[in-house]
Amino acid sequence: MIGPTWLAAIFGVIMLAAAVVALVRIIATWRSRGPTNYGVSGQSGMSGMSAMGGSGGIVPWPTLDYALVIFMIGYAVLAIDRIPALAANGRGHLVTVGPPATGTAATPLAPTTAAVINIVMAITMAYMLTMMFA
Amino acid sequence: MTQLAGTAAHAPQATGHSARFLVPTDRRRWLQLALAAIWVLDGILQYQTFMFSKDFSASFLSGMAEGNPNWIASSILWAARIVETNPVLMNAGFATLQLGIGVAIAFRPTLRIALAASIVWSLVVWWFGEGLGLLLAGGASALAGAPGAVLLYAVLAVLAWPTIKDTSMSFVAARPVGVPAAKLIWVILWGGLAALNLQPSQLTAGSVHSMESGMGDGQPGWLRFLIDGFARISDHNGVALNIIAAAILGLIAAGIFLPQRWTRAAVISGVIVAAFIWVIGEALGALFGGQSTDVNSGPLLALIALAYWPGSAAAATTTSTGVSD
Repeated sequence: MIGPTWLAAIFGVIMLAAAVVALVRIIATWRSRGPTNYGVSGQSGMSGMSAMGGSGGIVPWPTLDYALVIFMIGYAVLAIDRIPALAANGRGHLVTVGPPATGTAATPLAPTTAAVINIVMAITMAYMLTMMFA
Repeated sequence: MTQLAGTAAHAPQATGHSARFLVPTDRRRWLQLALAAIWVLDGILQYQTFMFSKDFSASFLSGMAEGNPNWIASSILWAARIVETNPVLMNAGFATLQLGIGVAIAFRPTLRIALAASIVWSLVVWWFGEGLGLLLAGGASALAGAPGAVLLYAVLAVLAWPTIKDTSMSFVAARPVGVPAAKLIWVILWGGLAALNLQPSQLTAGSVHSMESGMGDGQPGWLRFLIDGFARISDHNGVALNIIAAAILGLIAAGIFLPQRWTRAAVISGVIVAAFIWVIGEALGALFGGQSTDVNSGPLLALIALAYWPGSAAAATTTSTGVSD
């Protein structure tokens, strides 16, 4: 651990809280099992993976790291499973990113691109957490 | 099973080739996805720093030769020498292959070829990386991970193969191989584990204790507490514990031939036993030690057991026209 413990604890709590929020949002979207929920699951996925990876790295609790690794891999596998559906109809509630591109200047990522980014991020974060065990 | 977003029900415009991949996620697909997740985790673990060192081939792989018949031991040592010549390149290849198998199983268009690769690679690793699960070395036991975790990958890939031979849809495992063959696999697996517990090497007072003592070292406190507690109970009680375990495993094996209600009890018992093996005997795959190569046999045994959960024909017919069939 680099730096004072109290500072790491503050960052750890913040990232853990962010991870919990992201996790709740992802699970809520999964449970809805409806059509695409724009902007929720994809963004939660991306920010959640970072927050979970960061909190796992800061909080010295191996069991949490293990659980996060399992969750991230599960997330990645489910997202891969949905790619064909995403490519076919342009929607897939696990992986879409950004608002609908109607009347806004912002152009959202293509759903399949967003999916691949989320999958790569989840697997990378899972790998980084397993390195904590070495 | 539940309809998921992005699948056929939400994509009425999808037809032909793409529609093949939009069927709902049924029980068998969940098993395939679980196998995919385990392969991805294995790939990630194989990328750990230790795996790229010469120690991995020298100590880990070569260690699998011990106790095996000469012709098997020599083949394992031969493979270890090959890996040792360029451990970085070889291990990078192994890890990437395993990660690729997991991703390809999860990706519906490549499911079949990925399952086939999973079976082939599992058998290769079972031979050269696990020394045939030490089945021929005489010391294998269910608690220690017999018959070798990676062999169970191959079994699960066969049972989750995307064809339908059994149209009665009695349980997922019967679909690709038929009911009689699926039941035979169940009996060989659980009955075989029971028989391993009755080997002369297992029927000694210290057999279980010697496996468990030290298993909790390096694990989180709660896990070490559970393992050390069982280690204390097992001290001098190896014979009794192995006979009890053999009886339980034998009942699970026989349970597949009983009426549906009792088959369910056997499946649930199989899952509970698998969980016990994973937590107490395998320390959750010893992932916390930093040198784990896989999750070990517990989760695979549980998944295989779940493939035998009796199901209704109506629930299964939705998949009979889907991609995986």
